[in-house]
Amino acid sequence: MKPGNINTDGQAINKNLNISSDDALSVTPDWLKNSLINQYEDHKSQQNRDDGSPSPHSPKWARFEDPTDTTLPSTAPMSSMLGTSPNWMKDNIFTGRDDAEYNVYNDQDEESQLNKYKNKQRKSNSSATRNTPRQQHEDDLSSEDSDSELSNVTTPQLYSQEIDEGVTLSESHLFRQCLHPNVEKRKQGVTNVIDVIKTHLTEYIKNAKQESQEDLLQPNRFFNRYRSIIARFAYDCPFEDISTRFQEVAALLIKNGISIQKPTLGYLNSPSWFFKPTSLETINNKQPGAKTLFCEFFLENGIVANHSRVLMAYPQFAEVFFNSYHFIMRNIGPLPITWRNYIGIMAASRHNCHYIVRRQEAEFLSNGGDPTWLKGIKYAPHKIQNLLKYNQVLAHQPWTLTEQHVEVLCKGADAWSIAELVHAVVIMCHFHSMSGFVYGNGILPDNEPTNIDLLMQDIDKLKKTVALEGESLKVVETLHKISGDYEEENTCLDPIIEQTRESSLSSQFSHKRIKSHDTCPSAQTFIPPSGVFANLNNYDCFVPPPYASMTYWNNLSQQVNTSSDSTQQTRPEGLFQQLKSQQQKQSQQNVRRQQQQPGLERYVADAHLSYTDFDVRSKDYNLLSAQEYNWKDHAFTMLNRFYNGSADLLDMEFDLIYNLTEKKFNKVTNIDTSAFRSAIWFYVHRLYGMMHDDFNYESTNLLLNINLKKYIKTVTCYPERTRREQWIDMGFSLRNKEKIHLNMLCVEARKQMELCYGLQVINAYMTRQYSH
Amino acid sequence: MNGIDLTNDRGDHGNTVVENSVTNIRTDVGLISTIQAGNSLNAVSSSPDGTSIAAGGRKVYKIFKLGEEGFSVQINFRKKNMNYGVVDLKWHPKYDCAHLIATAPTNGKVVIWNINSRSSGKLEKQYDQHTRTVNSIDWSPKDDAILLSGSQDGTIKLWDIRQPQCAKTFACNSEVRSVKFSPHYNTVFSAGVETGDVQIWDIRQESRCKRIFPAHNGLILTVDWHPMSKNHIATGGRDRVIKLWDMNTVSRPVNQVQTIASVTQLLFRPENPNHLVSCANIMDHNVHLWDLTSPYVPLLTFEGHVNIVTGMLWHKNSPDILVTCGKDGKLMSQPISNAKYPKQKMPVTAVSFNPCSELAFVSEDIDRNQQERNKAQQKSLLSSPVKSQQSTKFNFVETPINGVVKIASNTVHSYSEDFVYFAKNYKFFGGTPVALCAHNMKVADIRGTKDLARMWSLLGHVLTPPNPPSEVVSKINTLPLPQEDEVHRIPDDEDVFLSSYEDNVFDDQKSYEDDIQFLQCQQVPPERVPIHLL
Repeated sequence: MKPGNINTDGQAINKNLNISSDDALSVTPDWLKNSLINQYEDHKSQQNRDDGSPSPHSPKWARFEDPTDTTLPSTAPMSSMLGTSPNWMKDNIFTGRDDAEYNVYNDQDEESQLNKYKNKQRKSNSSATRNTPRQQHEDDLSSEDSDSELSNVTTPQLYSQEIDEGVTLSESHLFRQCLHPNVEKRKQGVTNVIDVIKTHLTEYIKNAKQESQEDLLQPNRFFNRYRSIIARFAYDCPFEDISTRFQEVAALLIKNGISIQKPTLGYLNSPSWFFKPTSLETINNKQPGAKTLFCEFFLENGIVANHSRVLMAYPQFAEVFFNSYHFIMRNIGPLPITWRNYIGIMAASRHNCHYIVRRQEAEFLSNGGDPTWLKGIKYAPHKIQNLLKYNQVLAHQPWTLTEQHVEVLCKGADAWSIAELVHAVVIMCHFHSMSGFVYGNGILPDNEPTNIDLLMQDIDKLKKTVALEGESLKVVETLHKISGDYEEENTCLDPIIEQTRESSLSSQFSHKRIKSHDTCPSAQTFIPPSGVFANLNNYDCFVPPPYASMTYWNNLSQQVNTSSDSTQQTRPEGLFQQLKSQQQKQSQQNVRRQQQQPGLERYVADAHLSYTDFDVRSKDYNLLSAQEYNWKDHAFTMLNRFYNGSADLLDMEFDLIYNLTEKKFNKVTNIDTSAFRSAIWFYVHRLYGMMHDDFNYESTNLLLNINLKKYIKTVTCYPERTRREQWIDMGFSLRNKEKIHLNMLCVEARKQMELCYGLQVINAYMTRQYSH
Repeated sequence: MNGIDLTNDRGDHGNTVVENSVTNIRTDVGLISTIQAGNSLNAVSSSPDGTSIAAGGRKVYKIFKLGEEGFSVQINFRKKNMNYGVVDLKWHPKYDCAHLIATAPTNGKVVIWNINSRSSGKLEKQYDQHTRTVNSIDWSPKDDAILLSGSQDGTIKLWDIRQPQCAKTFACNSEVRSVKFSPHYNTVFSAGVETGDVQIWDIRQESRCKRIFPAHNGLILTVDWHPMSKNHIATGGRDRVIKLWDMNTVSRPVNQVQTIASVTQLLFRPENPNHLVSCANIMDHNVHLWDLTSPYVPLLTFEGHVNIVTGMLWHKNSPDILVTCGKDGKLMSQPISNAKYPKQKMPVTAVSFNPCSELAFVSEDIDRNQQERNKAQQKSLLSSPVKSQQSTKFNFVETPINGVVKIASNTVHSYSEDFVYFAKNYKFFGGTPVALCAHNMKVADIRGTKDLARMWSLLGHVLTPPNPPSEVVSKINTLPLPQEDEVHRIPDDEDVFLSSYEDNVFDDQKSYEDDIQFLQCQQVPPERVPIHLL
């Protein structure tokens, strides 16, 4: 067989895949009969040998993958190279080629050399054994005849689940050919894929003629599996060259009786069930910046994921956000790529965030991770297991982190190096806060059609428009006061609102901080913010209502499962009483179940640990003063030293979100909202006991009302409990886009706070090491 | 107040520090005095006469006396009130106003203290017009009543302490990390801001700054004016670089020094303006004294702190004494001659081979004993009866080293031939290690490379078991020696090359077994292998 078609610039193209799968079909039926578990083992043993040369199927970034995949020492690439082909290397130098030639030679012929070697040992398709997860899929696809055999084989349960759910396209190699940045190559890829589709279509038509009518009603396996992808490529793709050609194919398929569902706005195509997608940028956006971003997302996985769509409400932030995400997850770093995905899974599991866990599981597999790890944390290396404790404390009560938590990790047989640990901390912080983004914006699972219209039916009834408008006006006025550009003509819109506003304003400003400019004041004029703290903690609204707890939802979903018809009687009153139709209840229930299904316990150790209110009076822990350890001075330098490159990107991310503003507050334009935004930012820090001496915490009470505080606290401290009612009634009348902005502020503030805590203990540990 | 100490912070767990404990170490070169302030310190400043040192941190604010007997506590200001926290602290530089101290607490105020005040608090004035933390304050060197404060809220405010309100506000458009009056002009001051720009302002011109130039990539954390030259200014930033600028040509710095961590404070040494001390805000607990003309190795390193150093000053009376304070709560004074001289132990020889078996080497003679001579000088001065002239001039003569890299090449044999020959004929598999060494020794001997042959023979000896089995000797003889004419046969046809490649490795099952044997040989328990140290 020909060696892999590797482009000289190192970019892997997948043209050879199709050939290889066809070959596999014709040449090695016996190979397919091997159990898939054997394949995994082969894959694992192969991996050690192939470490030095990344798989040609991997996307470009995978070439950065640290070859020390599991527990191999860092010399692995060298030793494995020498181990497999010492003579070849020797001889290669003797040929006297110059370096450039040598490299090309190396790229292309190493493959062939290895293949020859492998073929000697085992007459089988060499590339088929190389990248098992994808290849399995590929073979799956190209050998429908042996389907029955495959399904009898005991595959690891989780993996097959992933395929069936079709989380992303990453496993499906056929369509990956279309995802090439180069126009010509993309065109070629599309042609290839369409050829394959057409072949299947002819086969389908042929079969349909031969078989009985009943079989015709059952579209064959190929179309069953890829129907949604074809639909997505045709109707939900930012590349016009892809979508036009797939639209033609889709039309052809529809003509032949294969249903391809055309997604329409508001149906099948909403990223969130909290709001209607009209407030977001559409994928066919013509603005150059947004367009490029959408294209990048699409190239990566063949799908613009729902959370990316929501992030695209602010394209400039989305760009920065994904830059740093790609850096920490895919660029050069101390941790192997698959470990990063696994740590991401662990982190998101702390908040039971199925959306992220599923994406990360898929990425983990497509990066060549060991599927057995996905059975649970117990199957992962001890070194990763050691991280459990640190992860859970960092997620829920970071202020209780101590040097001992670091010491446990950095000593013993499976010791973490400081650089590895710092990298892990960055990843954990990212995914903890991302859980808040996913839950806080009600993001729906990718690629799973949900009837959004049904979900949205009751949305208008939940709004309390007038009251919220009044709240908004109040805060707008306060903001004007703070920024000092208060103007009379901006205020009055409605006489009733005007009245309520005046009465509330007078009470608000009465307890504003008294500023002292006395010539010789005593220390007593200082007003301690302790009263503020006490208030913050004593809001009884923070006691979660009974229906917000996890157990409630789990019980409820079980009830629904067991008794489909009699649920009406058993369901408690409260949340569901305003829902009108049974269908609507069902679909909401589905969303709930998808988001809050139990089962991530396998990735966590102590599932019961959760956020508790930070107690300023506690004797067991202290406040973290931002003056003693803050992001800009300390955490940044620490990151710069141990994980070079990430600090600048994260700094840019924090700066951008902190300063991001459209100078709007609902309908009021040209207003300085910085006080409002920083009140949110510092409130989040305060929830975790991070104290800014120079911030007037009373302004949080002045600017944020109870409902908004509830939402912020839920999103940052226990995002899994976010309810749609909280989004709709966020305390103020805000546009959906502004609510997304507000959510992003919260999660980024949390990320910064966690980074400070996480890195501060590592720093303290190192300082102590030094002083002893 | 409700009895809560809001200034509680993290990092005190398990620290068994005894507050106000003094450690005095008398050395030949002077007194090293350390006092434990009780909690982390952020800034230090000296009274105009140099006899008192004020130091403060978030939970400490004290004045210490520094005399012949080291440090002792003079005044403890501390109360559980945030006004008593210290981010920055400056004692008034003039004798007339020696009773005034300005501090910037963490809560964004600017507070003036009068140590002669009869009130217990000693608090003279407080200004509350910054909305965020004040990062840096500075007294005007000429005008008694003028104070500057640079804040995180992006403004610099000028205070006339005779007035209750802020006199002037300078909008910097970015968070201000450092402000400093020029020692040469009455009205000029510099500001380092978070965008990485240095701004030069005139206090008479409130609207816009006189000069602005980008100096660092990222935050500027400190600026210091050159003590002699009016146009020179030193800056340090989060990008870990110290830069010296000539303001006539700001396109590039005059000198720059790359350090290992963010530079949080810079201080010119008054005695020698080429010398600059720096400290870092993370990881590096030492203070380094740099000679700007030789930027790669610090001239001197002051040790003693176990956490980062946050404040430094040169003693007003004896300018060769450096006073430092740190996060570890220590306030420390040490003479310059106590500092380590890194060049004393710095290796100055390096050798390296290239693939062509050429050897590049550099070896320079440097003066390693400068610090020793300074110490001796200091010692003799201290012991001499005349004590009036205590201040010594510490001279470090930087002799520029013209590091010459010499390259020695082996002209007898051309590289490629030797290399190819060895690669072809050395054996690493297919025999006991001892036999292989013996074989390789012979190969090297044939090529006439005696040193290599000797190396192989030594390696053979090292690996020889105590009683060498007789088969080794026989095996050496049985190994075929290569023929000279094989050497130059370089396969140019790829097919030939590939076949030889396969024949050599994969069809020779025996060599594979030997390979394993060789690996097993390596796992001989250590006691069986006598190691002859070379």
